[in-house]
Amino acid sequence: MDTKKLALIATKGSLDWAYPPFILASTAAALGYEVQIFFTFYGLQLLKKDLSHLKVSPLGNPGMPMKMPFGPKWFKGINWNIPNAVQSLVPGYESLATALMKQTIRNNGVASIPELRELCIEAEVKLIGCQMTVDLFGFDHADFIDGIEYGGAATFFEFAGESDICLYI
Amino acid sequence: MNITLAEKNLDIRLSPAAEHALAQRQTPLLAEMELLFSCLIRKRVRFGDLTAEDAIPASDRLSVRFRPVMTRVCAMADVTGSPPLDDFPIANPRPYVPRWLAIDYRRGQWLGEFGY
Repeated sequence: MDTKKLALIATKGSLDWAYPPFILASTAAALGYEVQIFFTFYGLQLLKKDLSHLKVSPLGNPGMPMKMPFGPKWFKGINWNIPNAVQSLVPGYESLATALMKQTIRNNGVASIPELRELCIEAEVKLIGCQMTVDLFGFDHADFIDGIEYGGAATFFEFAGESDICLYI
Repeated sequence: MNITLAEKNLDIRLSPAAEHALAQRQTPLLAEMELLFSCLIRKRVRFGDLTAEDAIPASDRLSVRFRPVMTRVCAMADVTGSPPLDDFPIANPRPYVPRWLAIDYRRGQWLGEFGY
């Protein structure tokens, strides 16, 4: 039987949007799929050596509940509906939201982004960084983890064109 | 202490309280590292007395097992209780086997965490 192939295009560089490509890739690899992820534009942030800079922003994101990861159950259940105007004015609001999100992730035993990326690498998921975007944003290959391949859309399409599933994230 | 699981080294770190509590046990403790594949990938260590067939003895009082699971119900509430979990058919488990397992014992309860 032919090995199934999953092709992912990761375009976002925030903490919340780092999860879908790495979860899908590691799960597919666990099921025996051959997987490649093409990281382009802001998605390149997910290939940086240090991932501590990844943040989540509740600003302009009405789908994101603002709940506290500590305290009694009734307190955790409160959705702090803070207007965008206030969020944009309060210094450090994004960092606070990120810290709360990370704590929520830890509290629920969810694997972290560095862990998921490590799983993907070990499961031989091929990570491709978009060279054009690297140049465009003035990044250096030294900014990124070892073992990734650099290429363009044509490189990725060689694999994506034969894939069983191709997703843009 | 270290053991080998799926040809991968697992570093087991016991807190002093865990070491003391283990020494008091009459039967071996099973620490099951559960990796749940769902919308998110969740880690949890379950503890029990029963020894699974594929558990690896780390000492005469502690056995360790890695169990990848899946559920069709994607609920965070599955963190506690007994969720309807099925074994997840991993083609090659080696990459998913953790590198470390930390075990603690607090207020009469076993606590565990694992990572990569």
